[in-house]
Amino acid sequence: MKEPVIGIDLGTSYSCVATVIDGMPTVIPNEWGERIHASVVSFLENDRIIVGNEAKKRIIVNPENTVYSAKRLIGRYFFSEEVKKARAMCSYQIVEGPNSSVRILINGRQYSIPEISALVLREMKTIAENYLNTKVSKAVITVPAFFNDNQRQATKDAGKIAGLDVLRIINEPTAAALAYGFGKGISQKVAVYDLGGGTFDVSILDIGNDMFEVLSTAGDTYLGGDDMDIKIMEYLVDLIKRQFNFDPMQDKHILQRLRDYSEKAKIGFSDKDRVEISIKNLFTGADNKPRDFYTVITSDQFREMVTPILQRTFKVCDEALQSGKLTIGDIQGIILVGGPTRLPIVREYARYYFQKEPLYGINPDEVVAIGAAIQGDSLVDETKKSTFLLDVTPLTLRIATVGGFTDPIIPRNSPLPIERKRKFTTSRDNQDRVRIRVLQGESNKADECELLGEFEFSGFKIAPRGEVTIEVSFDINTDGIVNVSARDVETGVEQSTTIYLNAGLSAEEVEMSQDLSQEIVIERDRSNLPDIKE
Amino acid sequence: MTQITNEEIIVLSEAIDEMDYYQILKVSPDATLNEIKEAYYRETRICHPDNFINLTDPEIKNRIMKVSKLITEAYIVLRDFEKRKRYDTQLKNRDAGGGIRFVEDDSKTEEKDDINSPQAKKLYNQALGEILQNRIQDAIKNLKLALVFEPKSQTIKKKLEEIQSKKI
Repeated sequence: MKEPVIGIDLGTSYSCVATVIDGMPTVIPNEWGERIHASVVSFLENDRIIVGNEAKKRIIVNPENTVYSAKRLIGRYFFSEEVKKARAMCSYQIVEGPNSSVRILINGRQYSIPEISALVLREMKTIAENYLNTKVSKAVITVPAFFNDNQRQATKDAGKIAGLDVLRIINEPTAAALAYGFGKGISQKVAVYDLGGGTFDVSILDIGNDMFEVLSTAGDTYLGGDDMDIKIMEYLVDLIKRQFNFDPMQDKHILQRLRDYSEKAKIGFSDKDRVEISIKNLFTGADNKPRDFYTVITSDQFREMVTPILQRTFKVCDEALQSGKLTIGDIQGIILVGGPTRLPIVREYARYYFQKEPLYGINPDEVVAIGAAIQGDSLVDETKKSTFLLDVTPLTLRIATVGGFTDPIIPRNSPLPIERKRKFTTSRDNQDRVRIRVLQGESNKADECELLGEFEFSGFKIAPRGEVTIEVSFDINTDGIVNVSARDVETGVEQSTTIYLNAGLSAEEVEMSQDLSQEIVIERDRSNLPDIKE
Repeated sequence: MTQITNEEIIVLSEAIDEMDYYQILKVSPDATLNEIKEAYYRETRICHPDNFINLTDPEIKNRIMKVSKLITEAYIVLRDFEKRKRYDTQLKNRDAGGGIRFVEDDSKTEEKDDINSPQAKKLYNQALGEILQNRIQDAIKNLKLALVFEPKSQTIKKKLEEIQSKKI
């Protein structure tokens, strides 16, 4: 029997694992029949952890030791806006690690973000191994189309730390299109509208027989279902303030509870017109008596809350169409991905915008993992290469120039793999090294782009300024991962490259994490867990 | 699936340095957009890096990456009306030092236009899309309509002249 390949949708809020069994793409449930698993890691004592839905329950009772939404932090520098926002919101401790990296401090020990994500991936791997009753080591992992190089690299590192051979990193919307098994008939243009917990992206694909060609992609890495939860939460906070003259914002614990109720309320609107929120013992009043809270939210109120969020998604859709030089009339199919697209209001807006009925056939929570599994199967199957993913780079690759500006090297929406070369000459006499800062983003200002790293090339001949020319190659592979190298134009000799600043882990660090990670035991016996008292 | 042997990869990766984009995609210099797309798909089926995922020899892997990147590059240039036009000129002047690889005009990467009216802009963008899909008559119609909203736009006029003069 050939070794199975698993497809993993590593989501901000939830993850899902699938594989192809006898030609059938199948979502793999865990021992309790759960098909999607909260991307949450809760640390118990003595290097024991719990991962998944059981861990999510502990955000409230064990807030400092329970890590959620790690995907928002992956591949980010500590000084980035995203990390600042997360530090204000999250109940666990986010600290600065070496090289401006992000670390999470739990019980006095620091964890890198790939190490945390690796624990979620390891849980997915274990779920698959238990179900298939065989070792699993190969995986295809999905990322938002809009992920930059740092985020992709960090996701790949997480896979390695989890003991997985990551065959490919593929984009979530492309995976979703694969799952719907297009390409069997005529070629058509399909829009994938992917509204996840934390991110939104839209991709437009031209799907022929076996070719999944991405024409354009656009996204917002800080727009998702979570924003709906926050909107509801803000509404509740306001209500509570007025009703009790008490500010829940002061208490992270209460806030987290409200957040939980808000998420449940949102999900409630998938099939209800009005949602009741009833919270026992929300806080203790000045008279030492507990206060209960009750309210009802109607779908009209909910609509009002989320409309601005949805409008933002369609601005991104406009951008994707324009970038692909397309109009809405060119789009023949719409795929909805992500839990929030289950909401009738999202479907209604999508139908209105695209002027077409979206496709619903596959569960939006599972469609990405299924696509990843299909791609994984196709990759290892030597006999039939059934599908090719022709993806694009979502962000313009740039180099920093003088005065805080940047120069574009590879424009966004360029098909992959791609390579561009640039020549640089020395600007000082006897200069023996050249430094280049590489960024990704759509602004010509360096501080509005995401810094990928700083590269230094040396080893070329010492000469008066302008006499040495080195050619730098910028390379993006099919996983969307960037590589930079340089050679001396005259001699053709490859220059040695030193990476000065990098958000990610070095190969040695990944290896070390791999070993350390083995010491952590994922507790899988739920009867063995400490009780949750709310 | 079309197989390619290691020997063939080595030969192709050497020979490709001397090939222009038309030769890389195995199409004639007057190939239509559809033919270019088909050719890109055809060559990709053979040389996509995913076909070689189990390959361990780093040298062969590098060679396949090189070929694969050039196939993509050929597609990027030949599918784009403007780029292809400039590339054709470049090829004609090969003896005068023009290479066989497209040289990006960096000053032009962020294209500026003189269209302010949103209606005209929409029609113009629509026309650009139609040119890409070879729907020239529709594109002409939309460009003319765009000129109604923005009669002085040089960008629109230039584009209109361009596609009317070139028979596609």
